Amino acid sequence: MKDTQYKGVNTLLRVYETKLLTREDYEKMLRAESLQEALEVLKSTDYHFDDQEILLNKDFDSFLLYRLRMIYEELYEVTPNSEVVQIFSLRYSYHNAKVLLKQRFTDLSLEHLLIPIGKYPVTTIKNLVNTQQSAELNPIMIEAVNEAIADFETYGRVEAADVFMDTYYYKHMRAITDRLKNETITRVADVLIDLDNLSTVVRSINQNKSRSFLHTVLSSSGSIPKQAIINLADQGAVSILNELYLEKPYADKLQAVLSDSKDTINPMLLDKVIDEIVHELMEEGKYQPFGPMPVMAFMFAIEKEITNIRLILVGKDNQINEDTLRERMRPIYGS
Amino acid sequence: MARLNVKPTRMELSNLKDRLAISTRGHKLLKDKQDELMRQFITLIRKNNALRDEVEKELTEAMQAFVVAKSLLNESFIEELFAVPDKSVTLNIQEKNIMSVIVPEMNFTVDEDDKDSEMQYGLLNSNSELDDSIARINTILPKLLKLSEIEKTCQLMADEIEKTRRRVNALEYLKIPQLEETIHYIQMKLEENERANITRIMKVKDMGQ
Repeated sequence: MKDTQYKGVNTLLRVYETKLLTREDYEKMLRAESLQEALEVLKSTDYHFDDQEILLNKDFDSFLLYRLRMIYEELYEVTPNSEVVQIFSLRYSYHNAKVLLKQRFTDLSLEHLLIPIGKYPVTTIKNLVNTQQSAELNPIMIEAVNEAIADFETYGRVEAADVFMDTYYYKHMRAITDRLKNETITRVADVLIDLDNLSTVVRSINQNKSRSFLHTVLSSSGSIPKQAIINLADQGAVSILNELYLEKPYADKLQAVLSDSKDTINPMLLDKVIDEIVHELMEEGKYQPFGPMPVMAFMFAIEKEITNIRLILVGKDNQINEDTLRERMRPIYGS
Repeated sequence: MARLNVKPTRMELSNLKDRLAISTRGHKLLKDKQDELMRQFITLIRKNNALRDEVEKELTEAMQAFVVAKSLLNESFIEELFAVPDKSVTLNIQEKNIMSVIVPEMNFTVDEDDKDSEMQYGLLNSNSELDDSIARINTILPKLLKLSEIEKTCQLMADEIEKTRRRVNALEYLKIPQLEETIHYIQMKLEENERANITRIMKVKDMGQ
């Protein structure tokens, strides 16, 4: 696929990005005294909701998800290669598969947890989970679902859904980025998977999980070999960071996650720094006139915008102080 | 104080005296029971208050951490993580007798034996803050369950104290004074009868002379 095919969508995105929340909007929301005040600021932007109803039921996800769904649907229509959009929407597809698998394993009714975002409708994934085959879905996803079902049928472990869906999500993402053959996107995937692996290993070490647990949860689709991470896990998360991530271009940013004594990693800060590193990569590709990077950057921006809005609204609703919210704010597009 | 509506006979007097003896003894016993209940109740309520303060403080902090952690994730993601609980808790209630108050003794058993995986929830759609808040809530859970046991015991004991106090008061201020007054009245009446009788005999004797 030629990069020039993206010129239409990239022009369209220049229009869309004007509708994203600006730093001033966030500032106003953060300084708001109450949830109502924050909602009023949000109402003047491109988010549509009935503030009285939201004040009553506090269902922020309803309108946030609606907006996200609309944007994904539009991007699927206008992007020449839908796989670019899929890099981000895969998270929802695999979430849906996970929900449906758990429903199949436990006979609980979990349909209300499905998120209608993704290349294929939820019914297609439902068919796959029910029949274990699909003519439309990607073979990687079919394999993932079949593996999870086979594991559950052999060992009766419900968490097979979590294990297989999480691992195959990265595998699927890697397969897409390999097919796209775009250098920046490949770099983004490397960074995403490597840093998610780092975050996973830090969280696992903090929870005293075993080596075999790491084998199960770490992805082997990153640029840093999974085995190398596991081998160093005994020496602590800082060793992994120093031995395996020091060569990476984003190494200096990662230094910020080390504690003052340099012997532990702050996992909360790590999650934030990961977003910042990816944000920087996205910023690089944002103004490319051709190619899929601006679409990627826009999707990342909208995902983070939704996260930031949810953070502020939930924070205001629960009287969380401004500094705590500021600390957790994710990067803002164009800044 | 109202007197009992009884005939002033020696038989009644004897009955009433028996009843008074039983009432006084009952009153003493109930008073002792009330005192002991109060003593145990006060100890328990102090423990309850301390535990409640501790649990409330920890729970508020943990819930606040949870709210912040969950605000960074989609609501459906969070619900999915905990849709299928990874452990189950069995509650075994036994009865304990404190001064004839039947209070529950709760034993919670967390069934983790049948679980050979360390995976509590998927790590993809969760974050480290969520790990922390869940771990904190997990540590509070035993205290919360203990608190529920103590609070229920306090409630049951308070009911029993209330009931005993009413009984003690009824005996002390109503039953015993009534009995005493009636006994006094019968005794007076009997003495009066006695005196009337003697006077009558003396009069009869005078008439014969």
